Amino acid sequence: MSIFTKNRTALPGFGLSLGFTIFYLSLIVLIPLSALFLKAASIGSSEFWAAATGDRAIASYKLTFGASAVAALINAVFGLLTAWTLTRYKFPGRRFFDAIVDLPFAIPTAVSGIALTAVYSHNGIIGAYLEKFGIKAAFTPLGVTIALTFIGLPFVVRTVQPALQELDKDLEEAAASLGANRFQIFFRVITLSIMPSLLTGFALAFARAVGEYGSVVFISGNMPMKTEISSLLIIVKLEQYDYAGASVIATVMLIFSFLILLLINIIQALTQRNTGKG
Amino acid sequence: MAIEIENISKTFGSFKALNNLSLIIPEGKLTALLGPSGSGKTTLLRIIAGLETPDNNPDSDIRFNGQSVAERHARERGVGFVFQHYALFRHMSVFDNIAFGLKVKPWRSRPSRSEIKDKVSELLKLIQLEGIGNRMPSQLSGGQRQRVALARALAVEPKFLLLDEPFGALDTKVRQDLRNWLRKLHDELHITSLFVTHDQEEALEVSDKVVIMNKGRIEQEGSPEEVFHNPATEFVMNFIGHVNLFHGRLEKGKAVFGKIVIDAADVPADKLGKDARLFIRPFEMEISSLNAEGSIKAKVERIQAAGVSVKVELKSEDGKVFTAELTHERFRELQLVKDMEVFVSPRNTRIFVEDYQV
Repeated sequence: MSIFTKNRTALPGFGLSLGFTIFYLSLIVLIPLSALFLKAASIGSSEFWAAATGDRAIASYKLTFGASAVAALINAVFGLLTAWTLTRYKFPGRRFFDAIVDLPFAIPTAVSGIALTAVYSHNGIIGAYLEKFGIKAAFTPLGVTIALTFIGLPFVVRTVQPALQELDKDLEEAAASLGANRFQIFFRVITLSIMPSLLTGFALAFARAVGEYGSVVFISGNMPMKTEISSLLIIVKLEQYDYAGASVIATVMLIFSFLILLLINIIQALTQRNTGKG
Repeated sequence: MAIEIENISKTFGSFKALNNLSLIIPEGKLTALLGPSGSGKTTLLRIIAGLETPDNNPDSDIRFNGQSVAERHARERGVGFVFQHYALFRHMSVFDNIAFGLKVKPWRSRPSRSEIKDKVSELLKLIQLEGIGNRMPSQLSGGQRQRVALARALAVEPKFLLLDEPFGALDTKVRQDLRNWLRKLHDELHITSLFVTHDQEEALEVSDKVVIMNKGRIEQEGSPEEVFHNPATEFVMNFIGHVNLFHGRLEKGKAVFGKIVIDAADVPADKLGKDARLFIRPFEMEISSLNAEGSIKAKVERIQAAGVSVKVELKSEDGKVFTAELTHERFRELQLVKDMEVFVSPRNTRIFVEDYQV
């Protein structure tokens, strides 16, 4: 049956809302993205390849996707812990800490960039301390990872929290009565039960980190080949009036991001089928 | 004396869920904890399992086979627990669910892979669900899920099996089948079991012993026959089966409930003139078309003949509405119709005055 056949349902306005959705998505998402592809395609394929795989570009992809993956992973672990503490225990100031989780969402990224740089530079509070151990945070890939971890935290906490709240206490009690210790309950029962949400949180934090610009440019120092993220490289190219080169790198990032999100979605679909949800 | 519970209380805020309760669960028997919601039966079960801590009281204790377990954590009590809503691990297959208790054992006492496999297949056979080990819980029906939950609890060979409203989330037909199956399973395994239910029919049908709870206390314990035929308190009388209630007064040598007068020769002097309550089971109401000694006149208000017996709603001369239950045979004999006048005499009566049973 075609979707255009008159199929009586209780919900009115299918045609209108579908039309609007397609129009809106096209206007906001699809048309700009295809314009990007067209721009990148305007140069020859050998030039495209050269621009896409230049040493500086490759270094920036590695840093961007590598630091984003590490940051998202850190957030998955500690975001889960934070969400766990906020949902499971009642303590004074819980609401305050719960609100703080949203701060990286809310404050302008340039503000967080300045704040992080101030704290992690060699004369900042934490930076000076790390210096004693010979660790440099600001103006290194580590600094980039810190910034990306900062902005990604709310994504994991906010996606995992409802799943933890929904999790039946019965499950933990059943596991305990079967002889499982706390460690086993946490890893074998709780974490695996909320895996789909945790993966979603990871994917969101990762996607956000890949696209991050504002908070990274200060703390990274922007040294080509070392601490230059792809978004910054695009800006650099634009400033040099190399529009085609900028759109080539943008296209590569778009394709990578898309593939990674697709992969995460496939994994998620598999775990969801296993947990029998959705 | 498999499970001994001594002086256990539990308070939630200002609500006393259990009030200094003591109880012995006999070994190898299937015992039912029966009571209305809020009577504390689930709380008691959870305290036995170690999922809830009782109020601090030096006299209180819980002993398993004579050994105190009050200080032991749930995972060290060796008790199998079955939850009302199954509590299966939804991210694990049926096999992994059943094997869970074996897999989380410390490595020294953990069985080998092949031993675990054998044990799980044995249990799947026991719950009559062979060949579904690979399925996920979401692919099973409610009754199947509860059987898997039971197998999971049995896998660790617990000393006792505790079931919290195990059939509460299932529909009537499945409930019936599953409780008969549980009875048969118990006859095979003889594991000391305690199950909580609010369904008196379920408790009477399945168990060896019934413990009736109300407001955090035990009202009566005994065999199903005992509690059904000799209810110790008004509450039990009311809770187990349907019952007709008449209000009246104790007089010298008799109890008077409107038109119903019952001989009560040995009424203690201090109870004279006290308000009394008369309980009569519907099936112990004799209906007759003839007026006999001690019977009261009543009018047929409603007849409900779809069922094992015929239920007749009657209204006495003084306006009291009550029900009587009779066999289809007797019903045809009497040729009862609506608005017909009949005579009713109780075959068996119980009179309660305050806490005293006449």
